[in-house]
Amino acid sequence: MQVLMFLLKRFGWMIVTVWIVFTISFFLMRHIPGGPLNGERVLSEAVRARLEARYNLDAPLSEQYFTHLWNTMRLDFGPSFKLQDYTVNEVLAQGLPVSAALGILGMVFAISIGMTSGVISAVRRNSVYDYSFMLLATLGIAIPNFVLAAMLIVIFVFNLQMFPAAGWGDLNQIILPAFCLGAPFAGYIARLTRTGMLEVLGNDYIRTAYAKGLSPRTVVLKHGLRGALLPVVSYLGPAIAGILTGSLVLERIFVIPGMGSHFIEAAIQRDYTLAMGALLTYTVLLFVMNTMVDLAYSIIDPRVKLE
Amino acid sequence: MEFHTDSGVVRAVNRVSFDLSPGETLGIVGESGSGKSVTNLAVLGLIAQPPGKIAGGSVQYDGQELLELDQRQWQQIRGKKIAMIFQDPMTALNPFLTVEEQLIEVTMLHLGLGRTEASQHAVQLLQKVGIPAAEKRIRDYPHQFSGGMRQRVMIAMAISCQPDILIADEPTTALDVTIQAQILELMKSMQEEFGTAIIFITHDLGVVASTCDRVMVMYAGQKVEQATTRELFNQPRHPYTIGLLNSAPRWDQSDEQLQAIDGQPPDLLNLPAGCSFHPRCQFVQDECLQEIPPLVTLNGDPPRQHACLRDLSTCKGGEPG
Ligand SMILES: Nc1ncnc2c1ncn2[C@@H]1O[C@H](COP(=O)(O)OP(=O)(O)OP(=O)(O)O)[C@@H](O)[C@H]1O
Ligand SMILES: [Mg+2]
Repeated sequence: MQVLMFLLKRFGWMIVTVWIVFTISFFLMRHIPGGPLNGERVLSEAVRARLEARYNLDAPLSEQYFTHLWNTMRLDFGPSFKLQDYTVNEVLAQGLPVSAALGILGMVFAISIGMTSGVISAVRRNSVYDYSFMLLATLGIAIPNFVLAAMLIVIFVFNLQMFPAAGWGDLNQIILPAFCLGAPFAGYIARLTRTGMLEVLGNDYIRTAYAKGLSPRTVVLKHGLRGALLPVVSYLGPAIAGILTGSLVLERIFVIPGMGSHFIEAAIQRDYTLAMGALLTYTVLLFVMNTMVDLAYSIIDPRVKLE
Repeated sequence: MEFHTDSGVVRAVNRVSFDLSPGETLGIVGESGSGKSVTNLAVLGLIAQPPGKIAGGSVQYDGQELLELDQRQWQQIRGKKIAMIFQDPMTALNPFLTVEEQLIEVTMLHLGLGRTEASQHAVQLLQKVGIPAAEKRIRDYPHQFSGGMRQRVMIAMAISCQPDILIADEPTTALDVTIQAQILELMKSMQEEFGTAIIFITHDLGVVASTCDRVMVMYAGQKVEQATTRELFNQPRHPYTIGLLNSAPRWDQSDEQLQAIDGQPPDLLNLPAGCSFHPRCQFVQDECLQEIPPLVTLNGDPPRQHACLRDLSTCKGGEPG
């Protein structure tokens, strides 16, 4: 019941946010000099008029706004300006799953590598493991992902020839970009887990757990990990946003046909409809992810009330 | 037992020894910071190292030297043979796990119970310690319990495997008087049924008088006196014990006669020379400033001990004889 109320409330907020994002970007895009039809080619008057009619650009701005808003509410983002044979929905349907796969795998890398090394570092504090993991974590955070990508391509693609350099469709082709995408977040998560774990292990209830005769393994994983998880879960919200933007860059480097290239192209070429479709999709995605993070937080910590 | 802190080495417990036979209750009294908890944490090997360090000593249970146990052997002792009720019920329970989970993991581990069996057992334990609607409350989390109820959960947890030794660190401080009496009664009946030996740490001399066979008095991390409860109350031999007795409310005294012990508890980083109690002692003599009083053992059954250079045997709370 409580969860349902929470989800409904979040959904309401999401609708409001999406509408605000829509409105601001609608007018912003049309205020920036240049339009979708000012390309390299100079169009004849007749062609221009026909295109403007097709994209509804000849109507007054307010009418354009309401038509576009109405269509958007029906989840119809309209035809793309630049990819003229496709609707925006088709472009999204093709690009989103690719980006999602990359993002999810990057996140899985970040969480699994980050948490494991964080826990080991905390339990074996000041050991060789601790120092090496924390050094790697710092490197992961400090090195920009395009530099990391370049280094890994040199090592694994050219020298070891373990992975193909670019492209999409094969499991082999997703590992390297997903790793580059997840690396800085793995670093942050490792540090957060280590700090969180050390703090938790100093608690009285950990001593109680030992006094019961539980093994160190049970104490750390059953009694310690939950508390140490909380700062990591809070960080997942910003991390997901970071993964979304990070994937824009990496898709370019590894020539992956995801949302990234469309997003950037659409913004540069004033593809109003595609840019709007991508922007709103990302807004919804972030909202959904953050709601899931809050839900997870309240499941882990029973003292937290959803609101 | 030392703590290596940034400001120096704290000798939290020094020259403390005691023994315990089955079915016996030993009281440990002393003011805050005198090392009662640290002593008993050391018995269970629960002092975090660092900053703690057991610089020397011995803890024996059933012919076994506990300080030499490895992790696996400790797991067989803790919770099963020697269990502990911790002082602060607000922080000693895990906030992320239900009370049920925290109760059943002990009996599943040590008694080999299955989940449902352990769960029924846990409900019975909670009923025993006086938690109403135990079948329902067991699925709650610690934050849904009051301080006193959490303390009772702690107690249920500690007695769940019928340990040989139960260390109770101020187990009834957070409870009101009726519940306190119930808990003491419960511990007593368990003691009679299973021959449990109990180490009872408390500030409350009234509780000591009604529950303990013997008492050890601690001051500044050291044992200053040990005697049977009767002897200690009738004929205290250490000035600190005398002070404690005089500062405790008693049924046969009016409030005006209560006297607090003058002065501040000592700074363990910077103990006074000689007897560490001398700055606060009403019987202080010149030699107390130089000489550390040895622990004197007097014959008797059982023998009693005290660490004072003066013979206070004939005095009773007043002037030295
Ligand atoms: N982790 C630690 N680091 C440094 N000093 C410590 C640590 N734990 C305890 N001590 C010191 O050891 C001394 C004894 O503490 P202890 O907790 O045993 O007192 P206590 O007699 O149980 O007091 P109380 O009645 O308040 O529970 C105190 O002076 C305390 O400051
Ligand atoms: Mg204490």
